[in-house]
Amino acid sequence: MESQRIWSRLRPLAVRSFFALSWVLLRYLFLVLLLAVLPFVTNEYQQYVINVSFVYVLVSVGYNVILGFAGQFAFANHAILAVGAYATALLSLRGLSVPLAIIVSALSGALVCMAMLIPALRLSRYYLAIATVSLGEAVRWILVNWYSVTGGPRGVRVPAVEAFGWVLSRPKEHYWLILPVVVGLVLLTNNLLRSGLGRALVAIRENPVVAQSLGIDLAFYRLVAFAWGGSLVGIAGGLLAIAVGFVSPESFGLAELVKHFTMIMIGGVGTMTGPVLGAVLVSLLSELLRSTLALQEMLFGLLLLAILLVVPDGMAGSLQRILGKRESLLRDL
Amino acid sequence: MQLILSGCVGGAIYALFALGLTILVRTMGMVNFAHGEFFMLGAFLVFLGLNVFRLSYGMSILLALLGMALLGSLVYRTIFARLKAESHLSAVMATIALSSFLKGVARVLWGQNVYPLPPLMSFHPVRFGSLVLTSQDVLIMGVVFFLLSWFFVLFARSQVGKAMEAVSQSLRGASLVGMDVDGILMSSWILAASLGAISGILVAPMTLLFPDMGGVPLVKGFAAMVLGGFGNPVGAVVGAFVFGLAESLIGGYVSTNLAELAPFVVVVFVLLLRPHGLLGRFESSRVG
Repeated sequence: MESQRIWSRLRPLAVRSFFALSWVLLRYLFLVLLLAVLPFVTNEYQQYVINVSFVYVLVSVGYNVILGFAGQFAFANHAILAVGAYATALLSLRGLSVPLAIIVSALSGALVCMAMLIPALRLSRYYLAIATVSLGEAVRWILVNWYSVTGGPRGVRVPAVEAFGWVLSRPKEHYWLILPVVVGLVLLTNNLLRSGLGRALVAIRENPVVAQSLGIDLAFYRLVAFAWGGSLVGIAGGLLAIAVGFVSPESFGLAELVKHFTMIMIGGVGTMTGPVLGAVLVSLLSELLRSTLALQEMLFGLLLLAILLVVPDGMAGSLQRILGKRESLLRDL
Repeated sequence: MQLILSGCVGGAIYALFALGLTILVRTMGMVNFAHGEFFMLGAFLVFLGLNVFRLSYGMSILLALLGMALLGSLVYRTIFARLKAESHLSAVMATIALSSFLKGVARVLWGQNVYPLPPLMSFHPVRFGSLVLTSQDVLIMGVVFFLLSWFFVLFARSQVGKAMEAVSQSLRGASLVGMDVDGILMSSWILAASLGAISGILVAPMTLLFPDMGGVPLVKGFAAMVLGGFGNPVGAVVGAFVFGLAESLIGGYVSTNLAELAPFVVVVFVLLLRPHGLLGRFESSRVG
């Protein structure tokens, strides 16, 4: 009797949550199907463009951890990307298989990024901006001048790579490497940033002194943010080297950094969906202008200025304002 | 001795460059990553005046200075006047975006080619014993000495200098006591752009003209500014000369490759060991 009464109360709730859950699952299933079907409806060139834009999703999500969540003026993201790309390119040239090369890329990206941590803990704002921009120029200088290893200004051609016994040489084959890595890492980052880690970072960003007085270990959380962001960008560099098949110092100049800024700002800095949307949009745009560096520099410079002046909180922020709801608590903290 | 002399010439140029950066640190409290492009565009405008409009050298320089002053005020009016109340991240990003945009414009107009710029005056190199002093060296030293002394008077003695100091400390405070904040900020942008252009015009005959020419001097200017303490004009000038001498001596006695890497090393290590520069004072900031 008693149990029946309880069940009659619980039943509507159970039915509702069942439908809600299946709706969520259905959405994910749809997304997975869409991603899985992509290579069967594209040609090789379209697939290449999709691959590159997926790689940039990882770049922009990784950079956003440092710039948006940790709020650090670390302006050497192009250098970290370059280090990751060169690590994979040079190692696969010497016959190392992809998983290992990518792991080395991740480690070297994290290492360079953690090198920036030393100034980031001691310096604030502009000092850090200057130190990191100088670091970026130094990395580029090394890439150009360490001829015997990096091949100098002419760059390095990446051969067909091998992963778990498969040889990946065409964009459609690259896709099956890039897709799981990018999706997995983006989801993982999303969850990480929604945990205590993300909240601690935002607290430090908003007011380091208050955060520390609440017992948040500033040095530790910045270390985690830099290591995580750096390894994501390093991995993205490795994937970029594989997807494009060629790395050269020229493609990792300040224009590249401006591109990363644009991706994050157009989507909305400090959000999760923003950088993903921004990365896809900006890499498609940059593919349209691929042949001319000058036009890319002009367009992205102008675009970034326009965003900063007109919609400083980006697409995600504007959408939230229009819909009147918050994406997460994080922006409020 | 020859090395010390060329170090002084290098230092003079970096001093001019660092001064242009320092002005904006003083007034806006921000680092201008587009200063290298002011440097590049100034030189290119002289080139334009000489080769396209067929003007005399003096007229071309006048054209370049007017053009850059206009650009400086335009940049302030359209971009930084609106960002002055925004977060610092936006302002710094905006200067990087501006740098990219200006570089792109120069690349569209002049392509990837490298152009020579003739020197302003040329007489035979002066010799003092074993020392050789070229006309360009003399010119650079003269112009820089003149501009530096003018700026120190401006900063330390004049109303404008004091107003700039006030604006940098508090925008609201300065406007409350009736200062024309917009005017002061705009004039500091105009000054910075013109200074950048002058250093470009002085350097270009020795190097060459190309759209990316602003990158390396920018980092060297940072090195000078950082050495001397942030936003401190005297420090910036001293830092610039120290840096110029060090670079020239390392290049002469050790290797030129090492000298090329010197600015990066200087910036990173000085910031790590003495974050407020060799001459800088430690300024504590309150918890906001």
